[in-house]
Amino acid sequence: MRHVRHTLAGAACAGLLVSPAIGAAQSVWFDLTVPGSIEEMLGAANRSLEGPRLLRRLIDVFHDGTGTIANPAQAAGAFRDCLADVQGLRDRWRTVEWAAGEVSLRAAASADGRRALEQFLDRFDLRLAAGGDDLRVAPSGAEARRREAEETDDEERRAVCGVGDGWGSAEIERSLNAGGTIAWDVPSFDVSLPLSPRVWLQVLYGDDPGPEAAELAAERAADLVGRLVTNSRAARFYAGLAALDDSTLTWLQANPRVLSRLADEHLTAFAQYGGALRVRDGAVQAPGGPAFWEALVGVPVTEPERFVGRLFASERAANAYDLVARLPEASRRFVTGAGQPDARDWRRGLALLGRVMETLPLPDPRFAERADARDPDRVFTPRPGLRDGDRLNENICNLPDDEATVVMWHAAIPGDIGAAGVARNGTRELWYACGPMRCTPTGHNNPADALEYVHNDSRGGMFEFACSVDAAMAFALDARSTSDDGRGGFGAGTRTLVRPASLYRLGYTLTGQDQDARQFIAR
Amino acid sequence: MRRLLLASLVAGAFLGPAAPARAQVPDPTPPLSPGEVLRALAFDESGNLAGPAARNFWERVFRDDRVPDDPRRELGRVDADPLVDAAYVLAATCTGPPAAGRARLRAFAFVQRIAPAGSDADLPALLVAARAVMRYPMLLLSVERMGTNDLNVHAELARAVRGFERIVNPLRLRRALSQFQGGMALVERARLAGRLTPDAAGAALLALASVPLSRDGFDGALADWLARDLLPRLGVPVTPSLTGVTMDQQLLAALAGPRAAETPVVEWEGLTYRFDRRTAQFERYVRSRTQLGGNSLDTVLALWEAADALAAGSVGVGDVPSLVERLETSATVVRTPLVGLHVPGARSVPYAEEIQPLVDDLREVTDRGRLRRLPGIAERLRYVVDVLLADLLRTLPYVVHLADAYGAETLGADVAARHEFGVRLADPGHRGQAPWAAPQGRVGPPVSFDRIGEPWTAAPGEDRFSTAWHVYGSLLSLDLALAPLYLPRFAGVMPPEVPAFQGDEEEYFAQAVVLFDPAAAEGGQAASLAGAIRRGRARVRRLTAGAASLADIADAAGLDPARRNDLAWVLRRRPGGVDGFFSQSELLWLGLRRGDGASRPPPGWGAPAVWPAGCLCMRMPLPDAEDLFRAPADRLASRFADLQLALAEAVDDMALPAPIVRDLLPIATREMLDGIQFTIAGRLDALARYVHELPRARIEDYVAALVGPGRPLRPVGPNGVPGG
Repeated sequence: MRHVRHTLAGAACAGLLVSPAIGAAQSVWFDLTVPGSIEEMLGAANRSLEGPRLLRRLIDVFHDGTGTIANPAQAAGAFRDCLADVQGLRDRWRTVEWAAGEVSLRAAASADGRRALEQFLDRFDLRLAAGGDDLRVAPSGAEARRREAEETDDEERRAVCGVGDGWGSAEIERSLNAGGTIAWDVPSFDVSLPLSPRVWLQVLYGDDPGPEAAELAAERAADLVGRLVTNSRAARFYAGLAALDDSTLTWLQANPRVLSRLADEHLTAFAQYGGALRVRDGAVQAPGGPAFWEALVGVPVTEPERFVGRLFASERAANAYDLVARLPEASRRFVTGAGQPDARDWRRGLALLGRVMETLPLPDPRFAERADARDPDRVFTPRPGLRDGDRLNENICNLPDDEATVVMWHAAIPGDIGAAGVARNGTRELWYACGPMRCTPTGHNNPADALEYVHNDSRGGMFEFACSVDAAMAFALDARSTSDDGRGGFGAGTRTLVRPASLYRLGYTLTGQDQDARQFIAR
Repeated sequence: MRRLLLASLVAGAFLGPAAPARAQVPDPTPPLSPGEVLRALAFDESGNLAGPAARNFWERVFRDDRVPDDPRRELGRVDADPLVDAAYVLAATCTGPPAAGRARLRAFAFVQRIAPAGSDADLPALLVAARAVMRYPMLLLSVERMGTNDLNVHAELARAVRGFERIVNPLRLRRALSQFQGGMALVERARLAGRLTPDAAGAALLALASVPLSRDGFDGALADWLARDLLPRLGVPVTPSLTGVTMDQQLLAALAGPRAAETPVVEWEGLTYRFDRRTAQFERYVRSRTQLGGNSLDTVLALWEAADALAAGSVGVGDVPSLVERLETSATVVRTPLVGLHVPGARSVPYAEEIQPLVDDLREVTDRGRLRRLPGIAERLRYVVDVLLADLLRTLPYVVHLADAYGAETLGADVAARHEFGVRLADPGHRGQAPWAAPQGRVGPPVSFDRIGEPWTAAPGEDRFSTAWHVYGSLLSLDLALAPLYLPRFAGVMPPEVPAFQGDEEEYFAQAVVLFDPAAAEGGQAASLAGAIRRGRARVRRLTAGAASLADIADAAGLDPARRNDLAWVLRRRPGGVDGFFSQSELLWLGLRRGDGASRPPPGWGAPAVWPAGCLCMRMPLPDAEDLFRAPADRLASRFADLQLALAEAVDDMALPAPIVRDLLPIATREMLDGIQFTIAGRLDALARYVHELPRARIEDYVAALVGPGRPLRPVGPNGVPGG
């Protein structure tokens, strides 16, 4: 077992980063194919993410202190574990294949094959059992108990995350007992690493992988990626490097001492503001021209090693450099004083700018830890500052006075709903007019159309009843004619849908179990 | 099991960056970042600040926030050197209290827009404009929205608005603001509908600014402006009648826009339609007017006419009985406004009780000797007119802006009465500024209406508005506050499990809908945008075929460094995915930037330029390398033009009139906000991907939804007459 170092400093000190440069002709990006399904692991919405962007965004959200994700550390750990599961499964599958040529019950013909197959099956809580003259696959104790108790559904029986359909214990058992072969058809995704795999193996494992680095990295791609996105320092290193162009990456590979300094001494600044660095033909391509930056940094751009060291030694200088590099050209010239006719003017401005920059907050507290964790039991995640029921309070001032309605709204809307039950005639008319209106002139069962129709019906005073176009109310109106109890009242089914739908309109987040409510809102 | 856990952690746990805190007074605003400031300002090719750049000038602008009496004296001598530099601009805007920094940035950007090459002679007027846009932002931003950049108009309006700060009584202040802002809002709407030219709007505003304002308010004088200046400009004949609604309807017709000589004919799915926004708008205005109720323009001006006659001394003893009869009739016709008539120290009274003493006094004028009582009666009647006019002019902007709205918030008849200017704020500075802040919808006023300074007319103990939805801030550009209500839900869209944007963030995208000006949209513009996007796609195809350089494409599309690396990877590993890599905006710039030159996108299209530059306009966001992964929703909305571009291209393909984009945008925006799921790629990426995958058939559905009453596609019968 390799010892995993958690800091880059150790790796750099070990000397590998200062090993002879890799030839410039070699590609500065290294592609890895990782077994597993992004769709399975991160959800369908993320299925198209691949390449350098995937790792960059994973690092962004897993090490993000700005609240994009509620519990980044937990999510990162789960992602890494999932990748490790896939890789572990593949290793066991391969062992069977190496020992026996295929992953089937025939593999058990040899001792090595049988041992490997048993280890493979163990991954699914399955075992080999004697079945007459032949071996058969059977559930192990744990799996058998689960099946007997019917505690889990098919989804939960799948023992390995991130591999897609067809890898549940029941399917494996069925396929092998039918004489089938288990093929390794797990989907994969591609990622890309800047610099050589050797650098990354050393960063992540702390050992010199030797000349077999590329093969090793490919072999351990899942583990490497899992470690990369969960190791804060490695993640920061990646974030800094991933925005560099090929020319600058090539220069860094050829100047491992700079790389080591960035990794060891200036990692925070480099991770956040490194993307603007451009080195070409032995000089730093400073945004807006060299004069301003040479004055600020105190080193000529033609000495890139010193320049880069000095620039990233100051987070605020690096911040300013990154800011200016990302600006449109005219704004950039304004900041660097290129339009000032007299160099003394822009140097004076530069001095003042330095003081201004010192007073500004660093804009982006990336990689900070978030202490708060999301409560997984809550159906809705209220947004800060949202007052329950506030928005609806005003709308429910004039409810119809039939008891069923009042009860329904009390149940559906959290908090105080105000003085309910005082009806006006127009309100009640609207209520009854909308209820049976299942098909509107436009052919849609659309609440807005229904309301418009009623409005055009010129019944004065109906708008006093101020809830109708809300999807929630529309549902209530609709449900009025097809009520749960068949008598025109509101039953439990109505309440369970109206409540989440109302909350959704208030800015709450729905989670999976509110599928019915989501379908309803869609109407 | 673990898969589920992970999915919930990664997909289900996204909360999205915190949206800016909503309006409390004073509004807690986040500080500006240098990047925001530098992107909001304009510079010439040499890198100098556009517009007035003398440091002297800006130092004097920021020395105080009051609009000066004598700007020339306040300004003093302005030296051409030194110019402001980046350090000065950033120190002025990014350090110190965030609200002050934002106000200063607004001043920089506004002055740049109205005087991009301002001469020294303009500096006193620009000092006034800069101060005014800091202190009374909506006053001048709405004037700018009208296309009226006459410095004299700015100066006169600023001078007039300063007068409101002298009104101490909250109800009088509310009444005066309702009239002044309501009047301005009518000019604004008429201008945006194309009924007034910028010059005519400017002239109407100058006349408005000259209406005398005392510590008691306008005392009915604003009715003179309405009847003698604005209505004639709008072509509305002044024929007041206590029971009439003719003028009311004619005003709404005028605000719906000028009658077009010929409306475009649209062939759609085998049927013929006329594209008639004006008629549709008018129908909606009429419906909205009925909903909001209150007194008609005709009624209020009939009382004004009576008061005017009494004050003018042209009434003889023989005329009195008819006047008595008119006032008695008014007692049965006039509706008591929701915010009651002012009776200091006593309960609020209904209109009939207020008018009866006047009728009694008038009835006593039976001989010439008692005619001298008439001016006193006229003054009291003008007060009544003042109250009714305030109610009317506060309601009319709501009539036109609620006409396009959907949602429960719009349904109360009293939504205009609930408008909150902030007149009860204790701090005089805040009280002076709050009514000119950008309007915002919210729930629960800090001060309930029964404390505005008057007893409330509602039943004792009834406090209906204590948590009511209402608009806070200015009546000007009210559509900004109501914008989220303009997005109708289209049937059949499943909302996402984890929406990328929360309800309060959606307003930024909704404002992109209301700021799109259909009156300025032309078919040639849509064709130009569509052409550039198609050229951009052709360049991408050449890239895939190896006939174009990645660096050139990345430069033209404005890809940031990391995204360039993404493109290189996609080209290397997924060449089939290159087409889908670029957003509509990037394709546009790829089509516009060819060789050394770049053509400009047509004006009026793009994304809202409201945040933080303060322009109530649309601008095509320039591609730059700003990292927007963590950007808040307002920043994203200000950089997102893809949906509008996709609609422009579709409209061009389908040979539809370009202004129809304004009618498609609300439906498309609602569906987009409902249809995007949060991904770890970020929200801007999710938006761009959504638009990229938006099927043409869905846009055709949107077009089909524009048929019907109150909608712009009007079926035409076989003989070309409206019908179906």
